[in-house]
Amino acid sequence: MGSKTDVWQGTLALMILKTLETMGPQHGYGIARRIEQTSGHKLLVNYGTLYPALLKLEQEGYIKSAWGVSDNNRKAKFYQLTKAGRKQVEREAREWNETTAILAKFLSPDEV
Amino acid sequence: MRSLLQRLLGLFGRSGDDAEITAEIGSHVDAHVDDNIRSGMTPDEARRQALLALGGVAQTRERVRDTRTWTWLDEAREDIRYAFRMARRSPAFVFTAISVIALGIAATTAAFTVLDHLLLRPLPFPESNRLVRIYQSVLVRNVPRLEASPPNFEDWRSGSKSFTAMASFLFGGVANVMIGGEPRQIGLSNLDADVLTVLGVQPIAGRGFTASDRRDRYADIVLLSHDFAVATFGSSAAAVNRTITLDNHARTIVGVMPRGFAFPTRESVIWYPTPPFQRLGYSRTNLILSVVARLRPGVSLAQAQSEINVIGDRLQHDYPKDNAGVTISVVDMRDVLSPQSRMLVWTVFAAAFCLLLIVCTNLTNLLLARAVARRQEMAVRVAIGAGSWRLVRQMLTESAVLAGAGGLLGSAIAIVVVPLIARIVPSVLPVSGQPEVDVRVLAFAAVVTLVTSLAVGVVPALRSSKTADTQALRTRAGVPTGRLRSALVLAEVAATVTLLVGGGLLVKAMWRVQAVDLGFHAEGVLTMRTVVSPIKYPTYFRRLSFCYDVLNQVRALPGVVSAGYTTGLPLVLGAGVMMVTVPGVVDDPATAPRASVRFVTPDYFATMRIPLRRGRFVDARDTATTTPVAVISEALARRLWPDQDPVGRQFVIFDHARTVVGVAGDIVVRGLERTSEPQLYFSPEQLAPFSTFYGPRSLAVRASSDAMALAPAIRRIIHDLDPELPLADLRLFDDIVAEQTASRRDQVVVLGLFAAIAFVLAAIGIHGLLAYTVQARTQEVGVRVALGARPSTIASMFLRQGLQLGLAGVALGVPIAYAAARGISTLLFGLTPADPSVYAAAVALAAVMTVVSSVVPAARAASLDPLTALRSE
Repeated sequence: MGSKTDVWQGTLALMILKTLETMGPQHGYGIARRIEQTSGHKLLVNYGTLYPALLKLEQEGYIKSAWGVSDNNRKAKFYQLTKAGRKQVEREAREWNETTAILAKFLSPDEV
Repeated sequence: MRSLLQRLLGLFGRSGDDAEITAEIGSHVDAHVDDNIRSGMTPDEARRQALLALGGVAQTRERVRDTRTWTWLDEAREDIRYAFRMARRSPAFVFTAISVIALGIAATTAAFTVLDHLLLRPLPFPESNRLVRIYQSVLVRNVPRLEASPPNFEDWRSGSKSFTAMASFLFGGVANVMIGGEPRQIGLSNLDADVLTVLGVQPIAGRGFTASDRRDRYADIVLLSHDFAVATFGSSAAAVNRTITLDNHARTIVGVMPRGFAFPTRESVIWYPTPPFQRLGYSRTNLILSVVARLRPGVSLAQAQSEINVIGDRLQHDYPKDNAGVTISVVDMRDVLSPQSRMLVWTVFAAAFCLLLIVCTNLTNLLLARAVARRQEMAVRVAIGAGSWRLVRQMLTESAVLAGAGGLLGSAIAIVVVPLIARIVPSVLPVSGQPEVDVRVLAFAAVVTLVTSLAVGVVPALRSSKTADTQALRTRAGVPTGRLRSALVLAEVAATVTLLVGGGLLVKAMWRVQAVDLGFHAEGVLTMRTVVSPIKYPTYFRRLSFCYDVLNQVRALPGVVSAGYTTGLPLVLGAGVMMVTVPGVVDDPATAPRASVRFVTPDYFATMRIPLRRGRFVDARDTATTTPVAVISEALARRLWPDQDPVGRQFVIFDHARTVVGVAGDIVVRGLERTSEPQLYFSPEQLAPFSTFYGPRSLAVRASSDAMALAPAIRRIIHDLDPELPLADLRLFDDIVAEQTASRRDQVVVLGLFAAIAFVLAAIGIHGLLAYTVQARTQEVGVRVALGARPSTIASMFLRQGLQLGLAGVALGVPIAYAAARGISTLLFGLTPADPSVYAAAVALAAVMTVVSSVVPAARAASLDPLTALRSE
């Protein structure tokens, strides 16, 4: 497992959580489309990579799932943030911001 | 915790099982297909595009499945790798941690092995719960569990129906044997033909003893232990039918017992047949036989006891004098181990556990300190996306790796030290001296290791995950106050005080036992037994004159001060204990005075240095034709004629009168920690009407210097007098006395070792905490120094913190120690559990420990350069 994947997994997880926070309960396909749209079609080469991430988040207790019926009247598994998940979004978002702020300082030329 | 549960459930496939994943992917593809159709694709194209975007149904399913099963294991592998990497980076910490854990686990595992071996595990015989020992007791005189007399034993055996078999054996002594050209002594005991039947054990090679062996060949055959046979003859089969010279007498090996057979105790290496009872002394007052029996299936111990009670009553009735007050007790074979011994085994286990707790607290403290040092590292890991659960698990993995290594090392140490701990209780159980380290024991070690790793890992891990926020990335300020760590050190000090007090009390109790006045001087005395063949010397006086011949020649040896023969040596051989009456005084037979009878040659008193209080010793004047006389011990004199001069008075024993000619000092005969009965000394010329069993056969020789150096010369004398005569139990009397306290010495070594380790660990704990505090307060110290605080003020500030901790630990430890001491009061040989000197010593040691371990960090604080300290951001 390379470090690139680690970071990708970490950011993907944050994106999923953030998406669920914004949109409420959503099925996998819906989450994937949303991430794709938000990122300006730059992310999610394969939708399939989403599902391991969802399972992992569920195992970590940040999201929970239940079968329901989609807009198109199809059976689909809906994901929803848990309480821990809500906190996790907050925390991760804050940390992400801080980290990027630190990195930004390093990368901006006048600070060197 | 909840996510842990979910993960574990995930591992076993509750959520996200294959069917569900397939359904979910199906629903995803369908939704995408719907979208694609809506945007104008043909159904086929729509599906193709959807599958393309997904990256394949099978691949996705595979990926999810991998996540489900392997996330956990992958991460664990990564954690372990990371733990090893961290370990390589701080070898000193790892070395300390692993050795400390190893000590704790070794102590606990070894103590458990012994506990299991002696108290928990069934005795190593088939259906061992049906095995019992049967004793004669005289409960009215508070004398439980005596040996049985041969006639009584025969009546028990023929009269009872509760047992499938009953057999007798003799606790033997030692036999001298040449092993590889070196004279060695090995433990022996005598078995009658039925002992192996009762035990349900058969020789692995050759055969056991038969009834005819006991009658005709009792002096000529022997059974060997497996280990001894293998060491001497290469294999058990090779030993059978060979001869071996034991005590200068050749015996044929008829069989070899299986490995681990250690009956009646772990000291037994060879077994002789029990001589015919006539040879042992066929008298109801000759208490000599140990009895073992097997309960019939379905018969309970209580049923057997009530049946044997009836027999006991009948024997009391039929032999009112010999069996006065004699009751019979049936005892589960395991209960032969005294309550004190049990208590001791549990004490050692508790002490080991206490040590393990100290180890855990110490290590928790070390890890806490490390966790603080690693806050930045943790914060970085959190920042790049590690969940806090993940961090906790990372920390737990590290402690598990440490504990695992410590556990392996500890188990290895345990295997080495088990034999030492196994000797803490006297050898009375038929179990081998070397407990096997088997699956049970290793499972125990594994559980202890696991618990240790959790115990030391959880607190630091939870703490570090809590504090590992991004704050730590920017600053080092705000280290925790260390209140938790102080509490842990406090607990360590308290536990150490407990161990010090417990160990101290046992040391003092041992000193008291060793200080018991024997009433004779053992040092410089060589002892042995000459076993004269009644076939070769058919009359008692022929045998006696042989003894005189030996004495005369031994006395002439250079280096010999004096030599004497006796029926049985104190501490070694219990001779018959008999009722003594004074004409005209009527005593209840059950509580009448009793004394043990010994026939001694005149020089015996001088050899043993038994003091004469009044009158004279028995001497050459006392012959078969003169008045039968006796020397009595002081205790008997007081009992028979309080406040009167006993010399010249008469008493009756065994239906005949004896006149007292002298009073000798009391001696210890039963053992240092038991009450001994009074003594009677008679001249061997005046044996009648006693059985020839009472004839002198134990020889004591006092040497002017090295007593053992006389052994070859004495051996030669006896060999020249009778080349076929076996010389048994050749030993220094000092060794016999030392044996009395051997178990206690082992106890003291074991508990002393535990206390010493605890002491060092607690010192490390205090030192570590103070060093950490000094480091955490470096800036503060800098400010203080800058503001004019003197180094001594700074030093005393930290010293005070150390002393407060030590004092609080002692204050907590002393009551705990007292409670523990009361628990083991039966082991203290009359010492009060509140013995002030022991507590004073323990507290003083704790104080020294505290001061010594506080001095270095305090001195470091005092020598801090204020400028550096202030800049130490």
